[in-house]
Amino acid sequence: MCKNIPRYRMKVLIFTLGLLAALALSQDVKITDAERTVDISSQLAKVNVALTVQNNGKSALSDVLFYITTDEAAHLAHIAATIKKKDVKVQPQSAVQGFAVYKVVLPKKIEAGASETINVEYVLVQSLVPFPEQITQEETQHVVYTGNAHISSAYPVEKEKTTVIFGSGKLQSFATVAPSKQLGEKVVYGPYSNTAAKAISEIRVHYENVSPFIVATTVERLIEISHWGNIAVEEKIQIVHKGAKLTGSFSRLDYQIDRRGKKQPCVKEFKTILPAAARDIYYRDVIGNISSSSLKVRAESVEVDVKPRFPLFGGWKTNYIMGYNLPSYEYLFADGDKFVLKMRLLDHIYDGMVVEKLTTKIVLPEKASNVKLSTPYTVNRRPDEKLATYLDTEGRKVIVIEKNSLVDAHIQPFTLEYQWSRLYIWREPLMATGFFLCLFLAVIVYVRFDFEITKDSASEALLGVQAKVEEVEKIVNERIAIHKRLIEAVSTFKGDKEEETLKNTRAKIETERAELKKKMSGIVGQMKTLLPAASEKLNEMEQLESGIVNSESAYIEKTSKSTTKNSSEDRQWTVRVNGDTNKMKDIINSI
Amino acid sequence: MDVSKMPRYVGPVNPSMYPSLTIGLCGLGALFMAWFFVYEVTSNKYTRSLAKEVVVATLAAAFLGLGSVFLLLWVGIYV
Repeated sequence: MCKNIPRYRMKVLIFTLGLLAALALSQDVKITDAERTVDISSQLAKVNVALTVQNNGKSALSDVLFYITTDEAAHLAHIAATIKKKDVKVQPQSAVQGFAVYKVVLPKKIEAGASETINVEYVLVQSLVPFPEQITQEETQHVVYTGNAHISSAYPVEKEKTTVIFGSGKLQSFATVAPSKQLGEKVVYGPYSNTAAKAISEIRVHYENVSPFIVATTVERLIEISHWGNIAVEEKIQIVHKGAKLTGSFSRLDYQIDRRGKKQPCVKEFKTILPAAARDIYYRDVIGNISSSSLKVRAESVEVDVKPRFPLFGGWKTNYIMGYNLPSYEYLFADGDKFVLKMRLLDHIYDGMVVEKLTTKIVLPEKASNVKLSTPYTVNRRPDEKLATYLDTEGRKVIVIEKNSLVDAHIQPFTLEYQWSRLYIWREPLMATGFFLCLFLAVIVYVRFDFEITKDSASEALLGVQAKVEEVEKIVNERIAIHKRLIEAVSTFKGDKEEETLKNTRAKIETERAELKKKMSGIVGQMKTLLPAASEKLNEMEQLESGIVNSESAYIEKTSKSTTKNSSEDRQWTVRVNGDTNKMKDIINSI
Repeated sequence: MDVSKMPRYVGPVNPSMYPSLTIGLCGLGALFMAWFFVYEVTSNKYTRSLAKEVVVATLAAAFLGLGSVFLLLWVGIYV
């Protein structure tokens, strides 16, 4: 134990020294030139910072810290960095006093004495505050941007300049931090030289901003995979106008005659861009279809001009549902039983969009297993849900993803991998078939029930006779067919004189007749008890039949000597057979 | 795993075939169903044969089952 204490202290000492060394190292990093543009002409504040970092230390520099004031960090939706137009990693670090810290990981270390230019881009949402907070229908919207005249930097800055682009609106006022001036649609702060690290001097820019301040407060995106070759997408969207709130009454007349066009403080319509393969597109809400929208099919996309039921003034909101179908080959890849879905986590709603809360749900086919999800940025994966829809037995697995505060830059694809046996495609047709089969089997069982209260022996007997007569009819039809076969066989014999064939045919016919006769005698026997009169008639029929059979040999003897087909004997025979069989049919009908 | 190297997934039946498959299969199914029901109501307990009933019922169920799945797909319920 005693030995362990010094070792522990040693560790602390090394750690402290290391920390001090790191701090000392950071002193040797300097930003020689920094240029920042803040674009506040839309509802977003898009900040672009170009830093030239110089390493004056003795060792190579592997990462650069980037500071954002805590005020700004509260509105941060997206941050990305590039070096020579190539993306580099940005990792969030624990905050320091007054600043949020991000680490830009350099792909190539900055050697001692060398320098590198890093571009950092970030987007702030809902950071522009309307002032005045409430306006009437006739007024235009003004907003206030609050920021820092200096670049929030972890390192001392030699030279810096900030340009605030406020767009085409009227500039009301701006805080001066000399030297600062207005240049057309911009306010330029700086250049300042030799600013210390973490310098802050607050600035305010008050200006007219007429761009739409609409925010999608909730977006629920549902992606449903069907292995019949379709991917259905449905988005439930709530949009709120978060600009200056409308005060006073709304006049439809004033709205109609307003000639300010886009300067009107309301949103009349916006454009949603859907994938080019989208079809069966619908745009509706709880009432039903919203017919005021229009669709344009372009080469690489489908554009929907979304026109809500009413113009959106400040503080007003609208809910709608937008859905469409996509063919599976655009986004679903398969290798045997392994499937990969590659689709956008969030899709375009309107240009310069802000999404407060996104919920993406992916409905997998039934029986999908081994699900692996990879997302382009960190998201909150909720517990899986179950959804039971058409022809489901146990429900489909639903992957639920949540993320707050998103902008255009978040329109990126995710990949979802899962296992699914291709034989499962048969489940649904089999289920439907099984349903119909059960229905028919129920009918088969039902007809076998007897719901008669009293037993009616007369009608019962009649049914029995009917069944027997049907059987007799069948036998007679078979006999007629046999007669025809024989006549044909004789006719063939006349042509080829093959005695063997004729003999064989006759032998075969003989056995068939014997069988029919046996059946018939059985029926006659049963008929005697059921209906004696009918049994006599059947006997009469049997006599007719045996009459034909008995004179058959004589006919064959006579006719087989000649070679002329369809001779007078043949014709006589056919007439006789036909006559007798017709008599038989008459007998059956009489029964 | 590189997604771009995987083959794209196409459904087992071309969607342009849905209408003709629906009409064809449901039509055949309806025919067998009609035969089945006509047989059930015209035959009596002395004449009906279980084998025939089951065969016709199975045929009708198979055609109607497959046909109704394609009907669902045709109208846009992607099961």
